[in-house]
Amino acid sequence: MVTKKKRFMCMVLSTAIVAQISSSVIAGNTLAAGSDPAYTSQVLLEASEVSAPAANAPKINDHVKIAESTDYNLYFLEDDLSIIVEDKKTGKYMESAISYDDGKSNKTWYAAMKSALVLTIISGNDDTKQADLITDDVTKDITYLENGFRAKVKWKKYGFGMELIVQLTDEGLSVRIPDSSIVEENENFFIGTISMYPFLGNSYLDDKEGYILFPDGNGGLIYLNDKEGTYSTGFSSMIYGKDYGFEDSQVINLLWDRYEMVTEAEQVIAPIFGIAHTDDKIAYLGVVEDGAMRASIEAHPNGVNVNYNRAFAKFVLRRNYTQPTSNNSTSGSLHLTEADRTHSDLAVRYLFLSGDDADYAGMATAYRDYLVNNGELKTSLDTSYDTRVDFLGTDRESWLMGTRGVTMTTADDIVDIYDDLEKSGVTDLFSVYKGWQDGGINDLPITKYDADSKVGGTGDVKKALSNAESRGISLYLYDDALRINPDEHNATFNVVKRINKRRFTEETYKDVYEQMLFLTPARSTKLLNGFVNKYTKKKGSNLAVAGISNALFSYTYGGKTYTRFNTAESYETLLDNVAEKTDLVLEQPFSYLWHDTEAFLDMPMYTSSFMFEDESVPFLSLVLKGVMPVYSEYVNFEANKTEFFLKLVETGTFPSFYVTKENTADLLYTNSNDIYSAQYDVYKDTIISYTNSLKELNSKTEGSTIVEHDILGNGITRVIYSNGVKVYVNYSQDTQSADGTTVEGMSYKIVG
Amino acid sequence: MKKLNFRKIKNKLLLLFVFLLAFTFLQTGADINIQADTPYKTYTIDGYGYVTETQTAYLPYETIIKIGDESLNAPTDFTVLSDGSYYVLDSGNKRIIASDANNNLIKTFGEGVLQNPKGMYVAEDKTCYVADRDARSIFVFDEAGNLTATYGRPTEAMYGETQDFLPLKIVANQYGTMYVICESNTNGMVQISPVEGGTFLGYFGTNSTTAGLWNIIWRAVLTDAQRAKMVGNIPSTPDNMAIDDKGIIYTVTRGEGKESLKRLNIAGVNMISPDKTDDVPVAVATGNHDNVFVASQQGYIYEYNNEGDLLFVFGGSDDGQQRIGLSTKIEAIQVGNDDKIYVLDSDKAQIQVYVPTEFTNQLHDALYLFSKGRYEESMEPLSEVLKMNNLFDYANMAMGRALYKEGEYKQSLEYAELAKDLDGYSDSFWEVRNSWLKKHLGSVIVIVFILIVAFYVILIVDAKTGLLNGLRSLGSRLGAKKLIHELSYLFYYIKHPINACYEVKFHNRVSVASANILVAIFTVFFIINKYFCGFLVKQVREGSYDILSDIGTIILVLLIVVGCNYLMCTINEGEGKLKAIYCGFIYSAGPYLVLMPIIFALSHVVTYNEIFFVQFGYFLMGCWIVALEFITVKELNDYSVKDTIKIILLTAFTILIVLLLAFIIYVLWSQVFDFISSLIGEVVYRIGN
Repeated sequence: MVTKKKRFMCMVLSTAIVAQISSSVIAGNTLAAGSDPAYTSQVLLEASEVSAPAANAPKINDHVKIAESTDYNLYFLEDDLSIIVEDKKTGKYMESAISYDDGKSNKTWYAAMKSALVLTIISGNDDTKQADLITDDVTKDITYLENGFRAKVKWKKYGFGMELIVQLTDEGLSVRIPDSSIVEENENFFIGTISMYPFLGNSYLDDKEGYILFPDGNGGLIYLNDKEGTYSTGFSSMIYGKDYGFEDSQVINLLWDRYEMVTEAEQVIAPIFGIAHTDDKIAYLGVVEDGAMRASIEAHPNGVNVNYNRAFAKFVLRRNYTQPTSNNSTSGSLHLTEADRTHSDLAVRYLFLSGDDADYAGMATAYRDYLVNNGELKTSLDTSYDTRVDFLGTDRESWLMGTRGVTMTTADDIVDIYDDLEKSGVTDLFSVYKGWQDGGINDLPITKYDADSKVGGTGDVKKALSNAESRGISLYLYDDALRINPDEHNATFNVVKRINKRRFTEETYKDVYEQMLFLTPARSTKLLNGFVNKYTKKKGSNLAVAGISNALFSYTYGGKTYTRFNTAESYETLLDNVAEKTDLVLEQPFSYLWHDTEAFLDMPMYTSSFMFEDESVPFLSLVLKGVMPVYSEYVNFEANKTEFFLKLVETGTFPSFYVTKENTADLLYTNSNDIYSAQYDVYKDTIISYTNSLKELNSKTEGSTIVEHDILGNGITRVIYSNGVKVYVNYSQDTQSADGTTVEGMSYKIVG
Repeated sequence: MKKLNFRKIKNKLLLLFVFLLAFTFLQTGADINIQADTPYKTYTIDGYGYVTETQTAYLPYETIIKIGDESLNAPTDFTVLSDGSYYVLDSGNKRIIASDANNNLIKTFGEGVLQNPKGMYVAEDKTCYVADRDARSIFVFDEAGNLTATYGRPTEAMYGETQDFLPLKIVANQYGTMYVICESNTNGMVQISPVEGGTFLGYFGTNSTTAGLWNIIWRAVLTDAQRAKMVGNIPSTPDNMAIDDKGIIYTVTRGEGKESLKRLNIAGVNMISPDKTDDVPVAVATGNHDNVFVASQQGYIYEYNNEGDLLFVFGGSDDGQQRIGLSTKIEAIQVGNDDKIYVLDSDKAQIQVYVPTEFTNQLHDALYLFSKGRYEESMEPLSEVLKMNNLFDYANMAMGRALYKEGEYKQSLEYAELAKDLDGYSDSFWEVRNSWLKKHLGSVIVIVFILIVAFYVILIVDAKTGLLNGLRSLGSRLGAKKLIHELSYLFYYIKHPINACYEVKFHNRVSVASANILVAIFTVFFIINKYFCGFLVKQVREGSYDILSDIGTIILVLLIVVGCNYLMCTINEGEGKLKAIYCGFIYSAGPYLVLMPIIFALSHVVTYNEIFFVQFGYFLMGCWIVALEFITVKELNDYSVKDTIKIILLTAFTILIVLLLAFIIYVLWSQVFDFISSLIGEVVYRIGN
């Protein structure tokens, strides 16, 4: 009903202004066709134009074969630009449009399931309307290329135009809309989002066996079984986290109006999604190549609006936002649309897999190869085993008129702890020293190489660094380069304002410092570079950077609006530079920064526990194992330590401990009072036993990557490394066996 | 040893259960998903009512959306029995679904009988009691699902002649006596015995009404009709209840503060006092370790020990995130024999099961041993708990108490201080102090004796040789200085206020400067005492300092009181000048400066046994100051006693008016400010675009 009404309104509107737009459409047409020779030549370099396929060309479901790679055929249908990718060996294929209509979907959804391009339109306050190639009056100008096709598409009614380029090569299927080809020529309509081939690899209810892979935490699967309409939403999450420039932070339910209770869902660290049809032995991994900074990953099982399983990337071009006009939230506000759209190519590369590779382990391998080939992952990193033992230096508690330091671990304590661990045979260590700086862990930003006198001053810290180096331990100083503490520093300027020009604040829900602000990327750059210069001048080299490694936001500053692309570019340039000067490690880095880090800190072991998630798989761990040392989140705060340990074994992740010399009860009145258990004396034995067990495991798998990962039915997970070593992890309470190997309950066994 | 074995067996059974579930996954539609990461945080509470984060206490384990092939429709109640089987009141479908422990459908019953069932209770013998609101009846079904009894509205006069019977929730004890919560019946739970087709035994566990001062004043003013309409007048009806195996009844009532959760003994007397409660509790259940669980409408789940100490609060509301473990609308909560928590969500039409973590199991062990008085044994699990969380208040408290029983008083003292366990601290401190005294009493006596002897020796020597002449002349030289002289007048003032007032009034005996210095000293004393007094008498939270506002408050109070008093005095023919009144007020607070150091010192050495001395000190000081202030007002203005009382009351009234005025001005001004800033905001925005 609603859609019908809207569509009717649209038609009325469009007839009213038809004269007005028709001229501009023509203008836009020529512009799109003729402009930007740079990108056109780039495409043409790879593929020359060819004539339309012959009438007798092979067909699948009316789709005509237009190109092929070594292993796959590409079929194409001009009517709706839909495609089919076929495995040459088996003849199995994946379609971009539904070929079976169950007749239960409305017209809009039917169009969405058929169309190669699905757009949402912003017109005034309404940002839900859909534009597609089926229901709208669209002109298509198709040019065939030797490895695909190029289609110029125009929506007359809305004044939208864009060019879709699809190419199949041995590097996969590339689907791209060049930024320069996107036009919006009707001032009443803007493009909200664009999805390309949203139903590529779709399946109806449980017609296919297999799963959808989505990037939640370490990785999650949705099985392609019949969900019986249980779920009303699927996975929908912005790549690289939500945009702080837009989200309102004040909508959360607080316990007793004060305490944050619901944790935020895990951020999407890597821009990937995948679908595997395990019965057909065909799968793809979709990698968002361009436009990922402002796109979401969508993975919806059947029952979510329609009865088809699908996964895709949705690119955001523009958004509506609320502009308050007063400080008081009860007074007025305006609803506005962003003045400018996103400027970036929109591109997804589908890495197709078949045979035994058509599973998530194969996807992980494909993604790793893709990253390595594109220089986004260092291959020369030392991946030998280390236990990560981090130290908390000092934090502050309220005291009379101001604050006073609470010292937990001095630089000398670190050396003592190293001594003590060495006595117990633990020498393979990796450490991050947090809260070393003058003023403690929450005294941000760090501008000088100046350690707090309570931890022994810069002199002692230097000594500890060189002591660690002489032992072969990497000890890193920790710097959150994103945040500024307004209670300790002047934060009037150079802090991030949201898109509505209101200052962004991050609530800590703690007593000493109640808020943190974000530095602008320009300021982060200046301060971090300044610190690095001072640090390296004094022979410092190991640096752990947090904050900017896993936050991305649009913001306004000085009257200008900056997009997430700008922010990402600033951070990447900054960290490229820092990585050159120092040995840099990053805390939970987003994938576009992976080439700058020598280790991955705080790898999530689990997912966000969405109801629609059927299985959690260690996808990111599979990608990075053997290429980069990966350290877990802190063992301290895990309630089920045995299970967590088994997770470490399964994923080959190195354990992380957060350690203090003093009793953590001292932290009770500081902002760090969520560190409720970290005393070294308590964790010493655990550190030793974890190190002994995991070192043994990693000595057998060092330098190898994981090639197979299977969750067997009886509680056992089997992991096979490239050197043939097999690890069986039994998560059940009872002794179980697999492949003739018996594993005791809640235990593991290494074979080979 | 036996317990361990039992646990092993239990674990095995549990495992079997898990596998059976896994096996029957497709048949039953139960969605098993053991989540090791939770979408919610878990908090515990400290002695000040502040929360601290802790390890996850319960993990989401399993979501039951179907029993056999039967889906639920707006279920409102359920019971989990000790064998793991459970009954769900599928209200939307007007039936009861019985399931075995593996979510296999056993049977459904009640179709055709139930009209609008709201509550259900299933006894261990599988007798099923249903409270049906629209049928205005209690239906009882036997194990086979046959209707065996129906109880309607009680006919006894005691029930209340106009009282309707709209049963919402029900429990029954082992003798079949039913306790029923009825809609709009504010007398309490209706207690019905099964004998003679249902005998009304009376009302049970009536909530009390609050009769605050304002209520009493209001009631005096209102008419009878208005009084009857007053909300606070009517005791609220409990929202839900539970019964434990000893027949003790637990109720939850929204908006009752600490009375939200009640544990009622046979006589209907509340025996629990929770330290923190939810505003909108909807369900309650009892656990296996003398613990109690309360679920709130917002999806929070609270676990208390038997004394009402909050152990954990976790969970949260699902605002469309669809994450396992968050709730939309909780209707009922149950605890299984294996400590699993079952939560019935009517909006999601599902039962969410949570399992305790290793951490929680340790805590439960400790809890059990501690409550049974096996302190030594409890120390092992307690120390494990503390290893995992140093800041876990309850464990610190229990550890302190256990150590106390073991005679480790010094350590016990540390734990008690961490846990803000005042009683425990007092006891331990008594012992520590006692042993200190025992050890040092001899030397203390000797030192005191030597000091006394030395004092007299010096006096004697001084009398002969003038040894202390130097000191004496220094004293008189200092005393000759005007300011010092004025300051030391304090001691005279507090002893001879009438004379002193005369001096102040007519001879300018003190100055504003000296008064200001006294205010400064007063402030310093106040702050020191507030933040550094003995642990047992300290009123503010450890680690919180608010000194600027302390100073501000003192100055503001002083200025308002002096100012208002002066205003009142001038228009009531008082003779006091502003300066005299200002100084007089400050000098009359002199006892504070004299007694506070003593009270402060005492507060560090007393236990609850001798806390009387500190309290008496405060009392003495208070009386003294009030008397001095009274005399000061009277003498400075030359009033009679009656006039003085009048002036003091008038001053109090003036202060009220001034505060009201200040508030009104503040509100108006902030409105104006808001208006201007939004105007500018919008103008700037419009111009900017």
